[in-house]
Amino acid sequence: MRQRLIRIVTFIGGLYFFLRFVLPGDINGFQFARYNHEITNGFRAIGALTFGLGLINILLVHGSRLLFRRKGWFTSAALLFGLAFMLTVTIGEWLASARAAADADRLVMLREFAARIVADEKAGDSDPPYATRVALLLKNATLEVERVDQAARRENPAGDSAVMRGLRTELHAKINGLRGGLETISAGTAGPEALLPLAQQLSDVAATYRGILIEQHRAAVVSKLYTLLSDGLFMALGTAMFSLLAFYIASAAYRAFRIKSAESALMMTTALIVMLGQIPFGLWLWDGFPDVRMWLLTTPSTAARRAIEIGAAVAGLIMAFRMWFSVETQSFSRGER
Amino acid sequence: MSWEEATILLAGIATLGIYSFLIRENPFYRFFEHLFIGIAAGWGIVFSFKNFIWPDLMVPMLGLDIITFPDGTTSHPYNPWTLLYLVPMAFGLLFYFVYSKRHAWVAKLAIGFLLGMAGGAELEGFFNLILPQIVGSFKPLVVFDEGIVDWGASVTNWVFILTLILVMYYFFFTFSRRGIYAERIASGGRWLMMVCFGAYFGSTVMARMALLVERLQFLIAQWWPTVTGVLS
Repeated sequence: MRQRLIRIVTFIGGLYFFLRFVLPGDINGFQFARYNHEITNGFRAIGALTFGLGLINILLVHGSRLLFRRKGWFTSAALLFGLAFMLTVTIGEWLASARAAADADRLVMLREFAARIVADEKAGDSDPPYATRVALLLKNATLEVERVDQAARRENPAGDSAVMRGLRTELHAKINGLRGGLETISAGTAGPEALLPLAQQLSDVAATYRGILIEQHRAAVVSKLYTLLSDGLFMALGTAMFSLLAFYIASAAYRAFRIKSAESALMMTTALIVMLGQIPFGLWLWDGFPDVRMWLLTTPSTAARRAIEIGAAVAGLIMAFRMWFSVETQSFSRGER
Repeated sequence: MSWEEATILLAGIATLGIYSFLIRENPFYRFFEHLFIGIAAGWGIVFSFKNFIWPDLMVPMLGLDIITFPDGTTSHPYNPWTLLYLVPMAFGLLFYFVYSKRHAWVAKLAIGFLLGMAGGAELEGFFNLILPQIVGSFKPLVVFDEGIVDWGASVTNWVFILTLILVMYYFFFTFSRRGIYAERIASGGRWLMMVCFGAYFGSTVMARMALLVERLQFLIAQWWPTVTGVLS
């Protein structure tokens, strides 16, 4: 019974994508893939929830090693410290940047409000009445401009950067322009056309204010900590880890591909030409190396890889169907039935 | 010490920690290796939450994408159908039954669903990705450039198609290869594959070398001056 249920659920899992591909876009007015974005998001949501499995496994393996002081507890402590610190700092940085974005979005909201008023008035569908809405827009825009002006004046105690000074000057000029625009518009008489330049001015002020907020955010401790972790550790360790292979790839190649036959000689010659075609020394030896390298990569190499990919894709398709129809079940559940 | 200097110093120490493996495996290397795994895991979790779960699932469900204007009107009405996202999310929680000895089979429902999804989507992926490649591979065998035969392009196309066919033939096991010609054709496919493997091996070596050069440049041009600057 359990096996049958799993097989049915497995089949249902692939049914939507299969039907989406084989059915026409429009069946007598019914669009099968109309909610494709939402359905795909739903499918992705199932997979996204697996992130907790990784977290739990890490905590179980390394947490228990640290707790019971088993061999390697110190490195487990380093791993858990890195995990906790990165989680805290990345979440903190995300929240701080989201707060900054929300701050600038208040101006964007007013721009959209102005655009909405214009659209509704042109459509003859203004509710509340047009004059009331314009009055609300002007009042809120005036308040918002003053708030932004005050907020943007807050200086960094350590001193402003040249970028920040430039942005402040730009914002000051734009705010003055917006104030002038607000003064010329009267709620009772302003037509929809008068609101469009105001919406554009609000948008301009929002863009510059967003730039100031980003600069202020960069100067915050949480942002500096994030840079310390991402540039100082994450990127540095990742690059060093991958570049470490440069030392081993040569010795591994020597062991694996010693020139024992004409085929391995051909392989190593091709590798040598590709490498020489990419470095100044190769160019110094013969200026035709880059062209030969490019030809090798785009013609025989691409063709051979494509042939392998086509073969692998056909096999993958058959395997996918076997998985979808649960023909492959025994391979994955041997000894657990 | 400024934040920038601290970042450079830390990056240099971390790089040296990883390179210490070149001498032999040691606790210094293992420390940074585990630190990297922890940091990468932490970053990955927040990345998936920040870029998918929050904006695509939580924001529409909580109605946080709705803008309320000063007159009380909203940018768009709340869509209660977004609450249906709770169904796949609840279904995704079945994965966590792997920790129950008695009900571990329940997790197989979610695993099976994802496998089935991958299987169903593969058909679309195959026809959308592979078929254009097959069609694009069959290039004109004689290329004309303003009415004159372009021998270079023509020979290149011949080599391309010949390589494609020979390599595919090498992997064709449906019928047994009998006869000297069949063996020679398959052997030609193997030779051309060697060219391909050699080209990719060379590219991989150069990519790793580029990373190594970047790290060495960082250590010499940025890290060491910062160390001497901080110490002096």
